Amino acid sequence: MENTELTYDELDDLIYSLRYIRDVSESNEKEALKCIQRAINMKEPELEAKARLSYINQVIHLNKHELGIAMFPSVLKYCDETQDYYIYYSTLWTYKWIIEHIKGFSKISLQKIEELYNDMEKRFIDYGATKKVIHYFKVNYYIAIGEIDKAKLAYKNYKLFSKESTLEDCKACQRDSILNYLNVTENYKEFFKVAQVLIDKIETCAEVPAISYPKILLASINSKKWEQAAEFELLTKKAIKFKHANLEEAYPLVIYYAITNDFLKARNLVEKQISFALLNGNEIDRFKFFLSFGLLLTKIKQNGKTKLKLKLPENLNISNSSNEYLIEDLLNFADSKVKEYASAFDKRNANNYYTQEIETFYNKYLTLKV
Amino acid sequence: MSTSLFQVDLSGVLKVLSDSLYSSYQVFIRELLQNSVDAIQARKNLNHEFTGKITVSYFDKGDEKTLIVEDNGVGLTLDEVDEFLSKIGSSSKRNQKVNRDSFIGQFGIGLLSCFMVSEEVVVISHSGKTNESVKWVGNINGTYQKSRIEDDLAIGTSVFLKIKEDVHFDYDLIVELLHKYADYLDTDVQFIYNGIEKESFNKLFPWEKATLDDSVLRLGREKFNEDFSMYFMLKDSSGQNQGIAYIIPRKTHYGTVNAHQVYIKRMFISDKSNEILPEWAFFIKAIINSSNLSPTASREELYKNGVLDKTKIDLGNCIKEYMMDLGANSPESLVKLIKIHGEALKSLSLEDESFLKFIAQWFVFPTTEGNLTLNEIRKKTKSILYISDLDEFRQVLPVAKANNQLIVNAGYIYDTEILNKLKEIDKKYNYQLIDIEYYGNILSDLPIEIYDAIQSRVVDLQFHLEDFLCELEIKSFEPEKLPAIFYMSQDSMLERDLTNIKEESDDLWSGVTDSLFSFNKQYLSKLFLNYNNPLVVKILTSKNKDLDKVFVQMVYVNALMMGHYPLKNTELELINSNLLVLLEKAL
Repeated sequence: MENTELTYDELDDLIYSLRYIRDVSESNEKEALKCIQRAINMKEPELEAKARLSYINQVIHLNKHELGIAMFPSVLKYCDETQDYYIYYSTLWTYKWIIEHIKGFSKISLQKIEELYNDMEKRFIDYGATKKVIHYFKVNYYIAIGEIDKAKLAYKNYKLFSKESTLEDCKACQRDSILNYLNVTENYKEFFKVAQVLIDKIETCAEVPAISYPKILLASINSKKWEQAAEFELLTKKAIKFKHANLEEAYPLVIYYAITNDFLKARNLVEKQISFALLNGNEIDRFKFFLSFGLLLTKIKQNGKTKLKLKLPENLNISNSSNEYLIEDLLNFADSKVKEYASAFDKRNANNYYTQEIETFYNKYLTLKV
Repeated sequence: MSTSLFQVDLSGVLKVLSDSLYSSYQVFIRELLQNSVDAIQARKNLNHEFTGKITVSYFDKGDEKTLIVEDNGVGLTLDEVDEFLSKIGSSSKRNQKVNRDSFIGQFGIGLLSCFMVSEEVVVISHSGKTNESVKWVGNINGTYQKSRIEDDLAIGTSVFLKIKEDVHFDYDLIVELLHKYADYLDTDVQFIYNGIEKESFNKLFPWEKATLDDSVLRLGREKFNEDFSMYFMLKDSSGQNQGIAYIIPRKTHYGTVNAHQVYIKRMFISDKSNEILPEWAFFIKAIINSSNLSPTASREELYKNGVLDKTKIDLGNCIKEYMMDLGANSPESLVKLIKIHGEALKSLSLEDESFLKFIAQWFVFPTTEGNLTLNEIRKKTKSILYISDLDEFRQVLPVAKANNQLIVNAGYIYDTEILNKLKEIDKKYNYQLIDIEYYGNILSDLPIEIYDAIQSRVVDLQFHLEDFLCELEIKSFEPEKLPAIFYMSQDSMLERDLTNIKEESDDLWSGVTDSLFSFNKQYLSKLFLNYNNPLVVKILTSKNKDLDKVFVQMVYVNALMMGHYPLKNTELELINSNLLVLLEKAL
């Protein structure tokens, strides 16, 4: 029987692999958690911090953002106590993931989020970054809380900086992130200009352009470029396997399938993703997923159908063993989810952006025809 | 509104080239060879029987160093000189409608690289088309002169460079560069030093020889500075990408980025390419020559496009086929390969079901009976029980051994996923993922009369574990010397950890966590006491309750430590306080 103890170096290697491995999985998540334990038992706080970063990498990419957020303060605390430069750099990178998702939880107050932004900004500036990276994240933050004018200002400020500085996302990721903003502000002329560099793969990285394709699909739908939409539907499906939670990426696809009456493809995708949407993770993504699901059901209903076969997770209160449902029941379910999130976000954000968004969404997509 | 042309500052362009585009000034040799190869190719396109030749002459007179690169390619007319040498970004190859793909260069910036080493570039050329000889002199200040010359030259082109004094350049360096760039060109390259013929460069790639011989291993050592013993031929489905894959003779980790050597149309492009093989092939270093991939403008990297994507997949399939072939014809070599690179192959098999079906039988797993291949495990049992956690496996090990039960330790990376996948595709066997709780539940219950007799004592003991959210159960199992086994689920472990973090965080982060979770008060772990253990029997049948707390809490803490679960401060304190109680009793 071989020795099952890992040496320091073996554990370090394993932690490293789990941090930089591209394909995240439940078993890697579990392994990362075990690595934290092993590091604690070895009394190696540096390894423990690294293991926690590996764990956060896994859970963030598995859509379990809340676990990553709850784990993060321990790494930050370690860095503050030890001044470990190497880990601090990785920690600040991870802070970006945290800040990117924290706004997607309606129970976290705006005051807390603002405090976290201030904390992050201070740390980043102290580390040598410019305010560009702060404005960059604020663009998406303001969009998420429905403050579009502030988002526009943040984008303007972001664009004022031409010089790159440390801790910024790679150029491809920055471009990809800008696509979100341009989609929301409906600036499609600039959108396609920015997107072309990614489509041509002039700027690429491990994730871009794969994650850009659904955004381009959405912009193509919104600007009624149907041939282009068809192309990016294919590219999205080729690039993203939807094995894990990809709610953000599923959203434009479901809309596209609803508009094109491609209900079979839509159902397959919904079946793959709905358990993730019900489980955990960023609520904005879940809101959007159920919004697109509602559109799909409405379109099916408009086509004269009253029932739909659909595999739902067994533990869902509306699930039944026949897997056949009245469209009306499913629609009520999707609507209740959408309204639940919209109301929670609007309450937190003290506006009616999300409630308004539901109306805008249906007005826009129910009238669109290919 | 009038239209004007951009004014190009040549020295500025050169700075861009040297600072940003090219990795080193030394690439000018490659650019010159490239132009010569392409000129020869253009002439071959007109006359397929034509034999090309390139001569590189280096004259070193101490204070004056001159390099001349001559070819017998198609040559340039006066108009072409104007178009292709004097306009930056204009390439004779770009406009070719026919056979454009047979050229390597297409960007029209190659000759500019010469200005990184010389103030002046002189080109003398005789075109086969017009039978005229021309001279072009380009200067680093951005000016140039061109003229027809009355010389009875042979068809071809010569480029003359006077090497700048501040540029490091000598005999050894040029020989090194010619080996790097000219070794495998399909045109004979001759090197002349101070008028004396020194070396010729014109080799075949090892895979182009009739048989693969020792030169393959020598080449591997030379290129990668590593002694290989296993290698195989790489070839994509189109046959346009060929090479040698060397299997790294030491363990590599997932995520290792290997630098492969890539040639395009026999011209060296990069020794740092990591795009040409799939990510999972991190146990391989390769030398590849491509005739359909494209270089970037710097010609030092591969251009990322659909052709590259397809080539990567194709070459990946070639690697898989090699291993399947090994399994059929040289299984001992496959075992050796798996011993070193099992992790990589396991990762690969998760991507490809057919490959998994083939290779799974060779994979080695640690078990309660030592390291066994899956094939050996299948021969021993139809029900393959596996535990996905190293520490849980360690706890189960003595119990399983005492009960002659074969359990697979699937706690190493990929093992659980592989066995999960096999569960779906290999229906001949019953693959079952278990944990200690499962194992605890299948351990023998006590006879009802014995349990009833001690039930109140179990309740007494349970009371002392409530603070630790640990549930107590009584079972009987072998070996009898083991008082208990302990189980804590992943969710429970995580909850313990996050609670700790929250308690130690400042108000801001603690408040954030509170907004995300509400931690429930429920049992987080389970302790299975072994009624076969004499000490357990003694405590459960004794009427004296004085030592209940010490006993059960010490067993609990011991189980936590044996299971490598991190101890909270309150649990650490138990050791001290209970030890003192024991000492007091003993004294």
